[in-house]
Amino acid sequence: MLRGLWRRWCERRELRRRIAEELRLHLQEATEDNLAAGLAPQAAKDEAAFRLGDQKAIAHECYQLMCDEPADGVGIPSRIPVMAYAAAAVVLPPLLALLLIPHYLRDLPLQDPDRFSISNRRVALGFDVASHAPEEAAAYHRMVARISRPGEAGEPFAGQAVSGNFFALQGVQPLLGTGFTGTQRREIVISYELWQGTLGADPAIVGRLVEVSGTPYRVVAVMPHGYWFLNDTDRFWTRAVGVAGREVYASLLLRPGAGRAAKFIEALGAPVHWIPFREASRSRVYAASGIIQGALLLLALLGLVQIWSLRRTLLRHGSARWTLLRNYFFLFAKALPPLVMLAILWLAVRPSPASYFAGVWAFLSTFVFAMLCVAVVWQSLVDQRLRCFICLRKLSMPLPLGVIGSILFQLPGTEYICAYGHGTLFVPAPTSEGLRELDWNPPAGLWAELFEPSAATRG
Amino acid sequence: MTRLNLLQGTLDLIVLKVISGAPLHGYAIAQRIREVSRELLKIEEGSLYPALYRMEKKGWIRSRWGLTEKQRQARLYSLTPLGRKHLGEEEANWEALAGIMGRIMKLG
Repeated sequence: MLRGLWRRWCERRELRRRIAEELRLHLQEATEDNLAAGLAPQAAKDEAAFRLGDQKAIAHECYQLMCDEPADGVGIPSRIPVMAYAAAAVVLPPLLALLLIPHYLRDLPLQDPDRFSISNRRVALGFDVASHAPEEAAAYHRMVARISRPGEAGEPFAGQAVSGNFFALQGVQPLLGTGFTGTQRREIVISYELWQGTLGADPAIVGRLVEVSGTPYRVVAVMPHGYWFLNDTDRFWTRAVGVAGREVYASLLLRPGAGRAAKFIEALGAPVHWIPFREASRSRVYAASGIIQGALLLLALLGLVQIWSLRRTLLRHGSARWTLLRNYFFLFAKALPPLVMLAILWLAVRPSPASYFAGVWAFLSTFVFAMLCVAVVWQSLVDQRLRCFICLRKLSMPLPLGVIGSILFQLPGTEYICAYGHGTLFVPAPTSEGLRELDWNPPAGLWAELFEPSAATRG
Repeated sequence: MTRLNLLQGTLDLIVLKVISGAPLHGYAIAQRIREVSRELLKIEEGSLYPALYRMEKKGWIRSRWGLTEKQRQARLYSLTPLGRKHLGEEEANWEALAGIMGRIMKLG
């Protein structure tokens, strides 16, 4: 298969070279003839280029003709670098993570911040991490529980269920106590704020029992004032016992010297949930998320209007309905794989519904995914706009007409020509009034009726 | 005299006829058409190459690297047996159509 791919790649490279060489020779010969006819060198060159037309469009059409790519339909595979979209969707999130990691981890009391990383990959408590970069991993998952002294009602607090080495991996020492002992399952480490508030700043709190949603847990440590991990609203940490049905994440201690490359690889696990943000920034995230999502909705609506407008325009100009439907089928079929690919990538990094709006990273990944989808759809629509109204093949030879300065006399725009002689399409330049209707002009003259679509092509 | 637009579908026929004599490269084909039509037939040079590639794909013509009169490397196009057969059919069709059109135009 690889040999076949290599051979095909070589053939296509040779084809591109051949087309370029033919057009170059054409221009060279035409320029020489123009020079012989008495034109100045630059004028001779310009005249030759003008007569030949848009070389890029010609080369593209010749290439398509020889590569078995359909002349109709949407040329997304050839025009949109799908792999580039996929690569962007894969690489961009960890790249952003790489930039954000130092920023968000700088406040954590880590002994060796450069070796610290986080992954949202599902990991078992046995630290079965696929990558070889981590030296050690600690697991955690989020939880909410009512914390109280025995017999009291208590109030709900956010916290984490963690593996026994959770604090040791970070190199953090508790203010009071020694941390998880490993001898009991029901142990709890509390935050300084919880100790000072709900639990009454009892100096002998370590060793006492507190209730976690009605179940007694023994306090084994109090963390220092200001300690936080990924979320500054967390108030307690219990030993994780049974993680079935939960999203379990891992904090990782990379091997010495693993450095940024290893962090990047770890980040390819697409961490979604871990980007922490302070309570104070939550409202800003909500606002930005609302604005961007509103803008995306607007873009989607504009896209629908464009599709409807295109359909109406094509039908009014007598294009065959079945041909049009076929074109939309191509549009759908060719746009689907990259969209599915992007959707799978997005599902891999999507936030849980509960925290959909509650994370910068979730917001960023959603935004990037949505923009890529919009780009694919938008490109498809633009591609559809520049097709022959009769045969639906790609139009070629764009010719700029009119200038903004003389807008009273001729509207500026670009005229495209159907290489098969069905007519020309004038695409007006966008103005402050928005996009104007496309102007399709069939060839005029004695033979005009011959250019009308036949009964067969009308479907 | 006003230059004439090329009738739809006739470009293939013209190109096949032009290269039926001897192998020619793209620019030479355009030049030959211009000479024969005494520069009255308006052919978009840009549409010539897609037509050549399309006909090569259909097997009507073949191409190979060769030298031009100016000893330049160029892709020379020539007719295949299939192309020659197609040209014969198209010539017959054209003559029939021209005859019909001539008779229609003479209607009083």
